[in-house]
Amino acid sequence: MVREAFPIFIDWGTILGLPPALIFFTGALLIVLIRGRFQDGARQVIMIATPLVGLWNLTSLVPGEAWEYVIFDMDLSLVRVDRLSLLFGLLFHVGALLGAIYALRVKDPVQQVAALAYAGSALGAVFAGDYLTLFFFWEAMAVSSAFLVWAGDGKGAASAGTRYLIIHVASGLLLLAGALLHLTRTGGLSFDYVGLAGVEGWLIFLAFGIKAGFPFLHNWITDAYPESSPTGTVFLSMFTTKVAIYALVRGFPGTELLIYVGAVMALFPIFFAVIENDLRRVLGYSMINQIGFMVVGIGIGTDLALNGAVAHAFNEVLFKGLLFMTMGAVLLRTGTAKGSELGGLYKTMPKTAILCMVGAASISAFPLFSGFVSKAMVMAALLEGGHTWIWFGLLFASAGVFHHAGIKIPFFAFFAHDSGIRTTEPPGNMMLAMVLAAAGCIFLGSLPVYLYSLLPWTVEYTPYTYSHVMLQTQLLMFSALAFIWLKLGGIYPPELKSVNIDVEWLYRWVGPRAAKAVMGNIMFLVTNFGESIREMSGPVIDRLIKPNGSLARILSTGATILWTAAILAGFLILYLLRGAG
Amino acid sequence: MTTDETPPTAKEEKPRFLDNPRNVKGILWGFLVLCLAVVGYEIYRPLGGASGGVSGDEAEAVHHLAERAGALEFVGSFALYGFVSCVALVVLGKGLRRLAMRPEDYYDPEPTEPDEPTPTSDEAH
Repeated sequence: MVREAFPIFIDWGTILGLPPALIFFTGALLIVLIRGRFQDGARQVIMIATPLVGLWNLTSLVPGEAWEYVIFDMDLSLVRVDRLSLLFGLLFHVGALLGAIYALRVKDPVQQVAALAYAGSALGAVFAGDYLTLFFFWEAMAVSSAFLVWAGDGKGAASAGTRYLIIHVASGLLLLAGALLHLTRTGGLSFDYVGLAGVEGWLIFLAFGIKAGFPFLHNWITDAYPESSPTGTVFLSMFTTKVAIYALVRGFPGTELLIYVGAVMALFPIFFAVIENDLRRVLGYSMINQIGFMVVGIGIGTDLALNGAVAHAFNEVLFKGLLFMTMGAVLLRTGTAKGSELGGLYKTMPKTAILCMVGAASISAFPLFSGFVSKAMVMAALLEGGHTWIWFGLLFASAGVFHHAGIKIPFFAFFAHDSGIRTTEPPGNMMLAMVLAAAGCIFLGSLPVYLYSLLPWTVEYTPYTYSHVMLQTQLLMFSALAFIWLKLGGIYPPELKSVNIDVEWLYRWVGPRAAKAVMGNIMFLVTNFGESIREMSGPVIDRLIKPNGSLARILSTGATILWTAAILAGFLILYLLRGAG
Repeated sequence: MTTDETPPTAKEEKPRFLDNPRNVKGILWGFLVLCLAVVGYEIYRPLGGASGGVSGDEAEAVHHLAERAGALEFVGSFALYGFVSCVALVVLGKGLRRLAMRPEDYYDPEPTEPDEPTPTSDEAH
């Protein structure tokens, strides 16, 4: 009855708790509103209290519950609670709390608001039950996180932030177009399996792929993350790509293409990571590599593989967050995160060095550290599914991870040649955040049963068997031996002040120059041959706009959506080329 | 970002344990011995079915793999795989550097910055 009377109707359902996103948006709003003598302290309290209140709220959400609303006959769902959304909900609360502790001394309200709104949007996205609600939070995530990129001190932060925003808005656009097509085709918007059967599936796939850092769409990670502030990068590393993993698990489980996409993601970044000088960019490449393992797991699509993918996403937030924290501490104390400038910091930052090595051991999947218990599930699922060659490829990638993230990062920052830099450990709040993250890495790696009990699917898996431990230990120890041999033999490439061109070269170098040349030629033609062009094009334009002409036809809804998306995407690309040039 | 401590300036300091090349050498030799010991242990207790049996267990899976592919059955096979992988990674990475490396200000050239010397060429070595 009520539903028919009003175009907008909210069904409060049986939910006892609040939508998790609402708590974070309220926190962000409070930070904006607070003024006065004690504003700095009050804002700090809000930064810490928000994720804590959120965690408390999370305990009152029970799987199976939903918070639904209706807008113009569309059944939408603001909150859908199940084991999968709860797992990511818990993860993002923990991540937001660690980030807030780490960034406690940041007094810039813009960064504080951006961080809370960003975490809230990520939570909104994982609890969204339909593609339209997802789209709303998807774009909110893009806008709020762009402010964290812009918060960077370097001269490249402004343009990197703009490129980042354009790419993420474009991803949202694809998602919207896909969602609306999905609605016209199926009559529903439920955020569930969509697959690659239709155009709408491909649009949504591409939207998720941009946020997940698929090959050729990955450069926003390595472009923006190293430009953000020491604390901003920590937040950035925790949410966006993990939301993408969550979305792929919802929309495309068992899509075989993802196995190959993921394998490429796991493999190609390690080569860039080996030669990259900026250690935060090395972590960006290594993030793509780790996401590759998750994407492979989603592609396999068995319960074991999907559990592995989400468990690895959980662990990665902790260990990659920890590694970005240690590099942020180095950047804060020395003013640089470049391998060519650093070295010997263990003398004055020994605790940070040890914490960095804990993160390194975790990402490298050493036994007793968190990566070991989650990556192995994907590897085992590959063998069960008969994907032997991909398994060999990912084994190579595993050795490569240890090489660039496990050894290179701690070695060139804290050991290697003594750079002469003498500094101090980071402030206590940063240290606390790093210690908590490191403790989490060791806890989950040593007692995986606690992580496994949270996973969405029921699977018996035992990571600590003699063969698995032996296999991994041999692989990693001899990878280290290879590093030593290559370094002593002078074969290892030295850290050099440089950038390495990647796919972004197309839109940061070729594109602007090509656009400039084309515009120059057009202007030349218009100036010199304007009159004749007008005469020649007259009949063509006539034909387009006359009754029944191509531009006067009535398009179907689907075609209109596609054209609107295409025009907006075209505008974004032009802006990207202009902005980067 | 505010900091409460100011970094101390560089000063005369006692040499650390790792400043002595002999100690570093000792550590590296120790590590080599440890590596060989780990492979040696595999002779004593082979990989595969011995501990397998649990569903979804990698030991079981590796055992199947060895049967199917006829590869990686020998002692130390994964050690060799790790070593060769990393050497290949670095050699290929160096090749990539020849193709991809550009000066630090490649995307945003600023000619008036004397304190930032740029790499001389596209070639690393």
